[in-house]
Amino acid sequence: MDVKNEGVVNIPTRILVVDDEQGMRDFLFFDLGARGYKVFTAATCDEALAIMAKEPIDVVVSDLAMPKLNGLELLGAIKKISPKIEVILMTGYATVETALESMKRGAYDYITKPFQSDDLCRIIERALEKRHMNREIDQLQELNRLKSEFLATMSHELRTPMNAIIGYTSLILDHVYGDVPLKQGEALERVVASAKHLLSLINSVLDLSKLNAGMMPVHLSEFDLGKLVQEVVDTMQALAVEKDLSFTCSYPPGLIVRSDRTKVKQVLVNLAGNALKFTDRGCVSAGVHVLADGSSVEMKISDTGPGIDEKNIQMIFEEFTQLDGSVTRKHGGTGLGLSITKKIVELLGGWIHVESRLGAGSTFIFNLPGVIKLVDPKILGDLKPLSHTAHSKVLLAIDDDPEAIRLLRDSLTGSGYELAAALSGEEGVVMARQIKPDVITLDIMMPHQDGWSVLRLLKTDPELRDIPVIICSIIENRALGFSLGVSDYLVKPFDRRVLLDKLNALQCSQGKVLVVDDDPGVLEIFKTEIGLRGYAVRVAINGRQALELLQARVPDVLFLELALPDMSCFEILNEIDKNPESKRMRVIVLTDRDLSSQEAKWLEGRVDQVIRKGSTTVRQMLEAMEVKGVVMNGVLS
Amino acid sequence: MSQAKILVVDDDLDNRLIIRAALQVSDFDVCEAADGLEALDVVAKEMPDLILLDLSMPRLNGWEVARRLKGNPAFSNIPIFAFTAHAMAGDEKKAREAGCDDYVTKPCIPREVVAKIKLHLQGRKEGRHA
Repeated sequence: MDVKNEGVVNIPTRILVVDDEQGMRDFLFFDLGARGYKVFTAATCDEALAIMAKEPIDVVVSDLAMPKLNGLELLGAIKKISPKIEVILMTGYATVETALESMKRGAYDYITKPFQSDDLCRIIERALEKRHMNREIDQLQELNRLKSEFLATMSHELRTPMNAIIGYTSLILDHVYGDVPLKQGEALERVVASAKHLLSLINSVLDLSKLNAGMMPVHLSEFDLGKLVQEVVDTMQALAVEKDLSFTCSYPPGLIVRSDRTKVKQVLVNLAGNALKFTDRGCVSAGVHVLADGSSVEMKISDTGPGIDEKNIQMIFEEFTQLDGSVTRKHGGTGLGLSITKKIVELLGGWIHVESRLGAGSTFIFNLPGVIKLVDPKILGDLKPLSHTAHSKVLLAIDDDPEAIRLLRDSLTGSGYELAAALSGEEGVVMARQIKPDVITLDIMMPHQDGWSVLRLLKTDPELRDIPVIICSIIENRALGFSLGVSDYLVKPFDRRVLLDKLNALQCSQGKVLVVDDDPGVLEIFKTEIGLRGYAVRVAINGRQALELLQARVPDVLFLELALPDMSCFEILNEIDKNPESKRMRVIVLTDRDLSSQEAKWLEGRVDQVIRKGSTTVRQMLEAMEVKGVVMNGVLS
Repeated sequence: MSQAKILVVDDDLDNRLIIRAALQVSDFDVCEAADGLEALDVVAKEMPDLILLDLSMPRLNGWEVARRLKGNPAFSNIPIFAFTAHAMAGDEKKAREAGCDDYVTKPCIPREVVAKIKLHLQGRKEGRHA
């Protein structure tokens, strides 16, 4: 690559001015020249391109509309030849459209004639700055590419001769070239073992170089950390059995983290491998637990091995420092394992340290961020929906702020509610499906997915939409909340007693209302107004949907549009009558026309009220009904 | 049963000798090529049952050899094992994208490579009969 680091500073900036007006060319030639730029001028497109073929131009300042030359065409030609040259367009009658068009085609900026040359110079300087930055980015990218190419080449070149060493030795040992005397065979076995050791060293050095060069890619995914630990323990159990050690693990069930699974596994294998290697008697154990802040996990690998002298503890994560040379000979290993382990843990955003005393075993402790599900194992049980098994009710808190969750946990002490928590909306929805909480509290301002979109997901899922949702947010937008179907709205910071009151209110069967109308606008109004008054609202847009909802749960009050597209109001009422539970349900028919006498007769005695839409606002209507005790606390007289 | 014929393509003489020795012990027929262009000639002449193909070679590299063979209906049926010291993340994917059916990294234990080849040819035979 052509890198001219020093030249950039010393060579004057070369500017090409393209304009069909002699006056403008002369003006800019002298003005820009006086400011220290080297200026070239051209009157036509061809002339401009001819100059650019000879001179390394940095910036082109061109007129946009000239009789013999279209600035946009010139721009296109320049960007084709040398995309890195910045072009500034001058125009006498710039419209926003032409300006936008030219920027879209790659112009750096435009300036309207007449202009102050100071303004033009400012634009030129900015264009140069961008050019300079682009050049630096190119250089860094090139450097990065060279580095990874070097590592790939090194890997390839080092492995190639290893193939001959391991290959020939294996062939001899397999008696391909005839019988092998015992002593020679033993010697060759050692050659193969050493070659394999060398190969693992090469692999480790390459890993380390990649980590040091910041070129180790991280592939994030969500996975069950406990299962991973179990997997590692299962695969390495054979090593423990061989040495007559016990190798056990413990972890909370259902602990989902977002991290690089392969790398976490590598860390666990390295640490467990070390522990098994250095321990001759006793046990090795792996444990996982979620830290109090709820956002990270801590993993411990403990052994009953020889332990580490205090003065050596700091050294063990350094490269090539196995503590005792004889240990290397006895146990093998590259002396790079812990160094790589530490770098991987740091790459994943965690830290690692060791607690150990000579003769008292060692415990390696590392933590990892990225917990997306934090469930108290007491609450999670064995993943059955808890509300059916446990006496206490479960509140699922969805909030990205662990502090807020801790506060909620404390607030719920003695309330009869237990807390499950999710630190993101995504996870919240997954958890809600899994544990079917009795109530959900939802934060609004969360990264990635805000509370409103989480709410939409919750309220469109047939399995979840009946779970009452309480918004707990610093944002106050009750109307939006209730229109989206929330049961209550708390503005942070809130008093513990207010929260408990709200939960209590939810519990002692709040009035449940079903509104059926084919006009989404009407449904919106009802949801907002009824919700604001503290009732649980469900809506249906047609008769079929209404019957489904009625099947699932009989509301206290049904608002039913007379003329639905798919079924008549009468058909629906006939269906409802078949369910004995619906006897206590109040039915209010909505209509926007006068009833015929036949309709009026049919409805009489079967519905509680008929309301003309538009004759009264929904709010007035509800207020009136409350006064009459129609929609009171669900228990209707 | 006639012995399967394996083409070993590698610019490194040692690698060819090692694999040849291991294959011949297991009664395979072996032919060799020292670069990509030679490999294409030998394939046309010998019609091997499987190709063990190094990737980094002079004149014509292994990825290109795989691409050309898999693009030619006359040879596209011949299984190709990439046989390479390119063992970094993503290398296997690149080899498979070029048309390789399997991937063996160097250094290797010759016996294990032969076992892998046997297994593949066995599978193909059974697959055909089924």
